[in-house]
Amino acid sequence: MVRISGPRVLEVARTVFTPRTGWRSFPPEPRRALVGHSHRPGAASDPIDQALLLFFQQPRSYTGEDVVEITAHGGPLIMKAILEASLEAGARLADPGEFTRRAFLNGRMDLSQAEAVARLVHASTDQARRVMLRQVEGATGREAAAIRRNLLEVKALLEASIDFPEEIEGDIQPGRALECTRNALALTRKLLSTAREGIALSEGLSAVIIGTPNVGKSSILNALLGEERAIVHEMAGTTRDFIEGRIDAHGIPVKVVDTAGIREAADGVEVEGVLRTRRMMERADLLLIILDSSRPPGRGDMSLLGETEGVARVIVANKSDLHPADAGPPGGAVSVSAKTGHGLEDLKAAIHRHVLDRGGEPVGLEGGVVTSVRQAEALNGLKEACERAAAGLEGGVDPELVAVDVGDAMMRIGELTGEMTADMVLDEIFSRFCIGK
Amino acid sequence: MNRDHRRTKGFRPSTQYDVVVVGGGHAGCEAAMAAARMGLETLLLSISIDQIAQMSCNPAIGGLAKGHVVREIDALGGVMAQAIDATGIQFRRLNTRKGPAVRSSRAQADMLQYKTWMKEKLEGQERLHIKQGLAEGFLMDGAQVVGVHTQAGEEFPARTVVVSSGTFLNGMVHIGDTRYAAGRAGEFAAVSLSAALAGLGLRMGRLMTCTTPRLDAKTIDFRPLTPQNGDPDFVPFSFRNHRIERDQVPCWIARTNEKTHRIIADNLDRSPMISGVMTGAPPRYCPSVEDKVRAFPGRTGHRLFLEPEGLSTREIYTNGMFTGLPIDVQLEMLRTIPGLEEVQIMRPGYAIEYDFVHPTQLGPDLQVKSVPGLFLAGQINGTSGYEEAAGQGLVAGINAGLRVKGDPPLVLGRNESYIGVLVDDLVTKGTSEPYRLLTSRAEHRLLLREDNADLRLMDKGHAVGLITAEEAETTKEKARLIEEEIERLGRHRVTVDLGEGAPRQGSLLFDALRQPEVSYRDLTEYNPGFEPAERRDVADQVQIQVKYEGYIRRQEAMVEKMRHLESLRIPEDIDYSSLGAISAEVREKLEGVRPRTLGQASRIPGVTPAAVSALMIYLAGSNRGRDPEGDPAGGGRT
Ligand SMILES: Nc1nc2c(ncn2[C@@H]2O[C@H](COP(=O)(O)OP(=O)(O)OP(=O)(O)O)[C@@H](O)[C@H]2O)c(=O)[nH]1
Ligand SMILES: [Mg+2]
Repeated sequence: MVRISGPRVLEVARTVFTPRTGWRSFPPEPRRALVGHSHRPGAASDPIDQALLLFFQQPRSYTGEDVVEITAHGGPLIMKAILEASLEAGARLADPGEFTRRAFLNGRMDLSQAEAVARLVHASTDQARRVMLRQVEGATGREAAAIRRNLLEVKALLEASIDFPEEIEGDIQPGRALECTRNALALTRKLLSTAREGIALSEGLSAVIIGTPNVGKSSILNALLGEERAIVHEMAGTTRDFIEGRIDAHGIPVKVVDTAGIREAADGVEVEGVLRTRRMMERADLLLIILDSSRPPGRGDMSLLGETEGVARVIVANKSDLHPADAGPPGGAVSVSAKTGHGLEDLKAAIHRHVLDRGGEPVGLEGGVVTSVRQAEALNGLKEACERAAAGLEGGVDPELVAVDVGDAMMRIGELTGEMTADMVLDEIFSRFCIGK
Repeated sequence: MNRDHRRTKGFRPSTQYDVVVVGGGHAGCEAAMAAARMGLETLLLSISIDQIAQMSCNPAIGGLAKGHVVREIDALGGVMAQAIDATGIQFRRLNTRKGPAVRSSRAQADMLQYKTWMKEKLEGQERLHIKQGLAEGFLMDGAQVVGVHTQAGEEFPARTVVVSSGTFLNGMVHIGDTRYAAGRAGEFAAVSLSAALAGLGLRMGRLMTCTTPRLDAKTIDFRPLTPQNGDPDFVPFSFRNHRIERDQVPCWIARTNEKTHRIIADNLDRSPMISGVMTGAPPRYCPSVEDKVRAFPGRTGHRLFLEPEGLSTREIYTNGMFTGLPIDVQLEMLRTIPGLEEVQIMRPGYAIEYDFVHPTQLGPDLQVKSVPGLFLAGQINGTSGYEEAAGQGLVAGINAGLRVKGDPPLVLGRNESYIGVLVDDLVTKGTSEPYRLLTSRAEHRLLLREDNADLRLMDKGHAVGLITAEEAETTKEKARLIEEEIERLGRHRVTVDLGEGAPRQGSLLFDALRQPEVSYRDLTEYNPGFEPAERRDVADQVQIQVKYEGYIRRQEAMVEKMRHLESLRIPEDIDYSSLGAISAEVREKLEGVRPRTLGQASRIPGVTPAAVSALMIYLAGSNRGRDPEGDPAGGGRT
């Protein structure tokens, strides 16, 4: 489909499309498919393809402007020809994301929605798509608005008590400011708790498979991918380069990288390989440490386990189909067989679980979700400002000082949604209190 | 030189003035005094000399944020603070249970004494001439104003003109369905002057306000009312005064009730402010009692403050009962209030509407941008309040003087003074209702305190010649002592361990003082060798500055962040009609002001955050060199 948007789309439509019945009415009836042919300007007799034309009249369209969509049989050659015909007729190629930008500028969506459109289009797992759709439909914007409403009330209460102390006496419910601040704080914390999984969903994780030679690292990559991406061989030292693939770990898009086995007494090429593996480990979000459960862990395995202590990692005991060694794998290890596929789902679940290892809550089935580091930083600032304001109100700090923290919090909300707070506080005061002696 | 007026017969006195001030209200008095004290030949032209410095509304000076302005006027070398210190009959500090930044002073004035004092002061001022006359229009030299002419045919050539004509421009008084042209109840309106301003191409608007009935104290039973007394140890408004020696009188608190409200509700259609007869915008913070009853039907009572208008009069001002209702309704509703059952009205409350000049047409020196030599100050710029008027009058008078002298104008920053906030708000945001200062309008609020007005502004007052070298030096000395003392706190430590909750032994006295429960005077307890500064004003400043330090830092960081918006410029030829994300209302406001930066746009009242973000995205898009409304975009393939 080719989509064209802007005030002059109908002119373009008329030059590149002719309905089978001719233009019975012009402009055509909105939202009603017209059957006909698409063609280059002035070349109706040599059509490109049969096509359907749909007209959306502003403002009831995706961008809020007049929009025309031309659908043909498809195929790169046909679509390219229709596109070129439209350009010839006066349209120009859209910038990346331009339709969404126009939709935003025309008031069809707010900033958090517009941002989420790009993430929705690029979502690589079903769960990521679902969560992004929620954002496109405005879930985060609504929660930010609720936080802002609470803060606005606090600010109005504080400012009214400063600027109109005699008028509002008795109108202010004691504790109301603190209550609203706590509401804002609770909402902020809740939204922030989705940050780990939300960011993982939208930006994905990188997991690096490491282990001593021949434990089955490449086999595990292949098993996770469901295809023979990496070469597997019974000889130790088979893998020399990084090989990667993408998997869906219970909704989280994960880039998994297979590496060369780490061996202590390495020579020339291998030294370089091990060095590169270590650099790769430093950049990873998560390490998958593979052990061979059919033999007791060796010195290499032990030193690997030792040095990754405290680092985000999942320990995988591979080759569970073979007879286990007496010692057995360390506690908490996921038992897997790359050969039979046993335990692979457990491994994916462990990867997913890791996302929430250091706090945070699952994104749940509804409500706002934080999907970028930028949003998380704004929310962190917001949370700290709310905490200071709440502590100030609890400790009886003077209102003009608490107001500094509340103002700070309101500015963070602006950073979150891209909206700047203007003089809304006064409007709020005047609508809420009976001011004036 | 030619006149903007057809009449040619004109009597021209020989004097060429440096500054002519039109209007002798609170703005005009400050403007005229400042110009004359700067050494300039100054004329104050008043419709009625008897009414110079008249308090047309409530008999009080100061109040929240306004008290700050009075002290700022004093620090800059104005007169209002001295006038109220000399003639106040009750002095109070407001918000004493809150922090120092938001404590403000307020005083009840003896209205008659106040204006007598002020007139005497003006008359005693060298180079200041006072004349009665109704200014009708301007003498022009090209685009420049070079004087005024009056109804009586006099012409006053001048190098600069300050217009501070209050509510007199095309004033129209309403009491119920009666109305008549007036500048204040019982005084002339300035109809021609308003036309002359419009004739200069200035965009005018209309505002309204209302005042309260004045009651006869003889007919009030004070027994059921609650007295409100002044503070015995009030710190005077002026830095020159150390004590108020005068006796103080109380105000009285009364309360409306459901009966009062029923009478008001039954007569709403007879209020010109509600019936739609009046077209100006009313002030939200000073609503009529009929508006209050209509907007808050759930309230069973509103407080009224009965304020004496002076020692030599029995007139009582009914603060809180602003109304434009007919006199019979005013009397009927007043008499439902305990204590006022037998009350007699001496003067009825009335509503007044008047023209104002949209102040966005002024520069930050209060000079009209398109008319060199013409300065506007006070209610003519859409403000309300004596203090706001006086602050502007001072700025306009100083800048008229500086212009005559060929010196650069005095522009006060938003981080320096409430007067700076006031002027900046007016000239960048404009206003659509009578503008009143509030502490919440000052984003640098913690810096702008009554207690440090001298430290903030005296050197500026000295630079323009309104503060003596000696006074400026005294303030500098005080600032130095404060700074040294704060430094000293950063060198000495807590030497005594007073256990749980007390500052830790070894910590700096500076950090100890930041704890909420520690006061500067207590510091000797924590370090017996430490002797606090002797001067009380220095000690107070040290305590305030240290305690506020962390918050001031955060406040300033926030202001800095907002300033980023200031750096985003909006192209002058922006076409707001192409921005669908912006509602028609907001678009109109943007088109009215045509802000130059995103920051300025965000401060325009009614411009929503969503609109600002839309503008921001639009700017980001157009910076990439493309006009989003140009050619239709095509080619999205799915
Ligand atoms: N029985 C059994 N054998 C396995 C399993 N996983 C891997 N193997 C075998 O172990 C040997 C090594 O497998 P790779 O996947 O190449 O091991 P690697 O860790 O990638 O080895 P290098 O790349 O050489 O370090 C091969 O012979 C695999 O068939 C398993 O789960 N069960
Ligand atoms: Mg391998």
